[in-house]
Amino acid sequence: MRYRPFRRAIQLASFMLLNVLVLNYTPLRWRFSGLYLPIPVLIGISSDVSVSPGLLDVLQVTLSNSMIPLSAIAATLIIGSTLGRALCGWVCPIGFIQDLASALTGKAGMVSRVTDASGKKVKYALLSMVMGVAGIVGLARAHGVGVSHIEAMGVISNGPFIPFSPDNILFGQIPRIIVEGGAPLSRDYVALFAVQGIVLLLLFWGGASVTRFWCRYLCPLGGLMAAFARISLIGLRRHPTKCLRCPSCERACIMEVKILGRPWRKLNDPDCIMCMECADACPYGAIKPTL
Amino acid sequence: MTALKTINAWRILAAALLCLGLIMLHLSMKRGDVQMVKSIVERYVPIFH
Repeated sequence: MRYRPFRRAIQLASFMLLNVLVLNYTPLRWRFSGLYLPIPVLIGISSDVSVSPGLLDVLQVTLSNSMIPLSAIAATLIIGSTLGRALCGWVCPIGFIQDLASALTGKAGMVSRVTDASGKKVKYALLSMVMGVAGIVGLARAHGVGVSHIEAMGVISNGPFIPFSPDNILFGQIPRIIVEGGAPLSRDYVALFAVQGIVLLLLFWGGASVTRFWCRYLCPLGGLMAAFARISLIGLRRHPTKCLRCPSCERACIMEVKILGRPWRKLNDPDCIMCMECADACPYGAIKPTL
Repeated sequence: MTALKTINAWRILAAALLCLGLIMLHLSMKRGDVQMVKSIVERYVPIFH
């Protein structure tokens, strides 16, 4: 069985379902309301068309407003301990956009092992910074200190990464600019728009040049879920006798996981998004999902 | 016996985290987290006005 067509169909269905509120703005005037459940994929909290806020956004907003993000932690633990990063590969709209960018150009390639290993640490640094800033702002608000500093932070005081995450730009800000005819293009946000432009450039140009560029190196949510992917119940099994150690699986892996260097019994790599490209590429059918 | 052999420390940890997650989900539902998130989202959206 080939997994890729199945995965593409699920990605497309998820993309449409997660942004189903767009139908409220069509002449049909449907009346869908949001679910408000934190889902561990990149969907924008500031988006009027997304059905639910993303887990990372809920974490940031609740922490920076001095609240314990119970539902977000619960979602992280439940999804992380069972599926690991599988939702990145099968459901995330930003992952789907990158897969499309790679497929359209057909030029997406790999990077050197050293660059890849160093780059993958960036997402953990970003996650630490984002959570650190949100936590400090939350503590300051709880104790009523640093009010002028928090005010000076402006839009980033309610979630330091939210204005820069591609989901909020693509599904929140850009549709709003289109609907409102450019009204939100305030001069106050020129620097912010410049950074957002760079983020979109990294997403599209990066995704077209290197497979899953954003997920590999820059996604803080990917960094959070990677910690759980190491121990998740679901994983990959490489059959010890069917596998002849040809590098087909490693060449096909869109996250450049060193599959052959991992134990055959169960592969739980923090960067594995369970896309199953390795299973499709294996000429001997040696790779299968396992529990 | 084979099933027992395949149970290792990582699986036990994953199962423990899953249970912890379910307990937290129950607590968050009891606390009304969905309503809380809803009110935050409504206050937060749109952020660039």
